[in-house]
Amino acid sequence: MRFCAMPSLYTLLALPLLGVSPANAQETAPPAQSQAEQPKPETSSTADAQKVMLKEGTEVHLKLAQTMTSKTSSVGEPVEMVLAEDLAVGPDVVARKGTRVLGTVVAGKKTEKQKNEATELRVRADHIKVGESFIKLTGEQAGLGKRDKGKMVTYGILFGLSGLLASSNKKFVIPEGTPATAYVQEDISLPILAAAPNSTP
Amino acid sequence: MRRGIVLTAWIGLLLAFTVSLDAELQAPLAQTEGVYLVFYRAPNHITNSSPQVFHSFADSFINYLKSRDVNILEDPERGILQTDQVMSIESQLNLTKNAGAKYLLLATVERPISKWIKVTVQSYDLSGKLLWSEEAGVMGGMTGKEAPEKTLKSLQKKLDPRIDKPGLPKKSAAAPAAPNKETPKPPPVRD
Repeated sequence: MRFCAMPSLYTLLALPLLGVSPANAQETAPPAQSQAEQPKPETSSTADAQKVMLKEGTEVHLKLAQTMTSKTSSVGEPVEMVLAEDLAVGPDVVARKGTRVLGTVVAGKKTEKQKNEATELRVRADHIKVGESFIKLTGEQAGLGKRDKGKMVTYGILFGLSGLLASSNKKFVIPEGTPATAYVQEDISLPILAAAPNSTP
Repeated sequence: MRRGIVLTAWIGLLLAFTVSLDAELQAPLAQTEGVYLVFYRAPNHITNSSPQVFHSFADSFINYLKSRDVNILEDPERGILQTDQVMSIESQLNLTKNAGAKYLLLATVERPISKWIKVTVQSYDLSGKLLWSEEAGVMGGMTGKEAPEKTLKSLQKKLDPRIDKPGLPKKSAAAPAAPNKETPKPPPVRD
């Protein structure tokens, strides 16, 4: 009787090694149906359970990860930005603060060779890469200025930039860390990373 | 008594196995023994020289490192960065981490008044600590035509002893799997 009890104890201990928990050992017994015959929706719903839909138009707070100047920025050049805060759908975070965001200079010097600085500087936010997915963004931030005797006399904000366009006598400067706002361009389903610590219901 | 020892050994084995499995699953993405390159064109070079000189020097420098089998990890989205824009070391280190590299190599290309070209190469680890710095430049002569080549040769002499050491790891020392090899392409940019 004692000898019968011990092997069952060893079996019990060996179950985790095989990836089977004692509690669900019976539940995970091989099914009689083949895999092809099993209903697919169950699998997809399990995968969807860990994903959330990030809606088009969701506001995304960014900040510049490089300094931009009207003297060095030329059209088509990539621009580095980062998420200024976690991007979340309700309490579910889909991209963490600091995640890389890529943008493009859409108004600036026409070519890299051009010696004269640009009179307009505009950046477009393109996308955020989260795992294998790209969240497409829309929205531009811009600084537009005119000069009078070497001094910038007016500058306007066209879109998105939170009033932090800096100016000097020599060139426009948008310093690293300048906040900006972009928007999600289209709905995208993303995996949940973690619950946001300060999320409000 | 004997059975008790066997049972304890079994439990110990199981615990060790479970812990190692757990650690494997939760381990963060390991950085590869590789280097991420950034070429920065200083304002005085923008004013007094041409972008071709800058890019040509950068390409020659990359070829030199490749010829020495240095494990260069490229940015999955932008390749090797050659930029006029000021970027903090912190931001550059973020890009380094994204690329899966352990070191950042920043090459600053200048055109001071006294020299045709001056290049400063700085190596940082992921904590932002400056590991070492080397510089080279060329002055004199009627034209600066050969200055980039001479500067590169001068740098080679200084950098050769640093290869296969922290900051310039060789491919042979790197782990076989690079994390960003199969990065999906970004979506097409709209007009």
